[in-house]
Amino acid sequence: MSSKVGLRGIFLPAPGGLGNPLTTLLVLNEWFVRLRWRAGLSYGLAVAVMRFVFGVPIAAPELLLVAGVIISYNVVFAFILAAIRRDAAPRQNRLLLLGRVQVVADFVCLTLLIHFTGGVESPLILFYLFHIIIASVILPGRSGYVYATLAVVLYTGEILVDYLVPQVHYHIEGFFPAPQYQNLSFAIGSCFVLAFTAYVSAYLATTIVERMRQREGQLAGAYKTLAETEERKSRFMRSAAHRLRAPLSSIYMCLRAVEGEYVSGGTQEEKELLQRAKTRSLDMLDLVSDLITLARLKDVDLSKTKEEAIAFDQALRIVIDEHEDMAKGKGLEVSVDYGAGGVSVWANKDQLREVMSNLVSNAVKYTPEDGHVKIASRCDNGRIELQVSDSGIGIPPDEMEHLFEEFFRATNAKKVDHRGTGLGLCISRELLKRMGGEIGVESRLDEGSTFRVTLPEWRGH
Amino acid sequence: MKAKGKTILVVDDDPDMVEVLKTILGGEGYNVAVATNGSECLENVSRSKPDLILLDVMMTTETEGFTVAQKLKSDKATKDIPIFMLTAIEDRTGMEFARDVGESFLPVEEYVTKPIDPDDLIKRISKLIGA
Repeated sequence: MSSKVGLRGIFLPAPGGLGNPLTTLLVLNEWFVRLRWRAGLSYGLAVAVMRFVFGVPIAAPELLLVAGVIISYNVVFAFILAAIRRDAAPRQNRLLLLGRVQVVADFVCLTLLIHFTGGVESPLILFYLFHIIIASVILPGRSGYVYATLAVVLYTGEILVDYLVPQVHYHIEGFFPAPQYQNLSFAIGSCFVLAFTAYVSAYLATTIVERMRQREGQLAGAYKTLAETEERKSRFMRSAAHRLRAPLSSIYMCLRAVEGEYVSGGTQEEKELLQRAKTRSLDMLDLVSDLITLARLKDVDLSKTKEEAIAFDQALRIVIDEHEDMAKGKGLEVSVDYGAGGVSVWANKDQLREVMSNLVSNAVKYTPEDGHVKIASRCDNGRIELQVSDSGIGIPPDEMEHLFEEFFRATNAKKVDHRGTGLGLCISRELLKRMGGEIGVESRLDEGSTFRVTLPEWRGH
Repeated sequence: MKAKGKTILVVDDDPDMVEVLKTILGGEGYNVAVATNGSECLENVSRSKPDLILLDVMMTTETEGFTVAQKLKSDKATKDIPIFMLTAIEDRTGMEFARDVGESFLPVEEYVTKPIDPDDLIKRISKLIGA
């Protein structure tokens, strides 16, 4: 009863994906049925050969009858499976039931075979193990143990029947020296050996299959994550490409218009177009720098950035000084509260500066003349908090959720300044994540926004 | 070949592109009106019908240009205004251009990818609305 269909043929994923449990269950059932054809036919052949070629006095008619029964119900199973395969929405419990029925039917027939080949004297007792292993593979959970128990029960039942109703026993002359079915100690011994082997086999098969199922689950999860990441990357690439093409188109057109002398308004107008081209070129440089920063951030190679303990307020002071002129130029009132004196963070100096600079420059940029900007830092219980508030244009409530997305710029922000990469906040969030921090925002349209950054305090070692 | 009195409405959210187009088309004698998004475009058209609409495909959203063109072509009052679409994305939005009206086909008169050579632009426009 050997199988030419290796287990490997079952566990490989179906082409085009990792397969789903339902298809696997179907495939496994079909495999079982295919096995049975071979087993049933080769078994029938073996009986015929032994009886008619070698003349061994086995109970050929009864044995062949059982073979016939096995083949018959296998035909039924085959039809049922063919129908299920055609079904657009096969149901899992149907397949599970079919699997169970197959195992039970085989067990019963096997028990009959054992009976007809000598009961406790029959060598076929080992065949129970095939089904215990198959059950562990096809059926879920602890099924292996269930069928191990069934095997033991059926076998014990058979031995009992033979023992109590001696006339029923079949004996193969010459196979066993003397009938042992009345030998109680032999019978009990056989039962124990079967039970032991059955449960250990169930355990081994179940453990191996469980481990494989776990692996499959992990792979499916990883595959899904990978697919999502790929999709995100593609979207990002398309956005980035467009944002690079648009300015380049404009730059080209401006230059071409001047070169081709399509400008009728004289050198003043020509100069204007050239200035536009120049400004746009600078924007593109900024954009490309930001894109490179972002790409680097997503590539998790932390060893490349030099990190150190940085005094928070000191770093903040430097950034605020850099933006002082711009703020003064707009008549903005800037108030600063350095409340994190003596407190340090563990971070890369440039990255920390970039985050602070992004927030301060946004506050100054998007606050109209004579407004105010309030910056405050403090440290509470090992948590540093930086707050940057402004009385600026605010963020439209329906655009808040997109604020930290790549390339996103709020519609009112675009009106203030058409240029801008839309990557500032996105990069800041990524940088803060690196540093173990977070960023949040509250805002009211036309009244102002408050950005809050939290970072863990660096305590020295 | 100077166009007298013909008005072209340029719809694009990129101010530099708008400026260049104004310069080029103005130099050819066209009157140029400007809209920076879909709703401004529709507003402008309802106030005074232009002779041609130069429409950018991607503005605030990926398909804003298409939506606007669809609206203009489905409205009896505006469906005869020739539309010239400018696209920087090379048909990656999955929509197609054709002469017939239909759901997946957008009936516009011309389309070209940015950047476009000024000569080419002028030639195609004069073919659509004459000089």
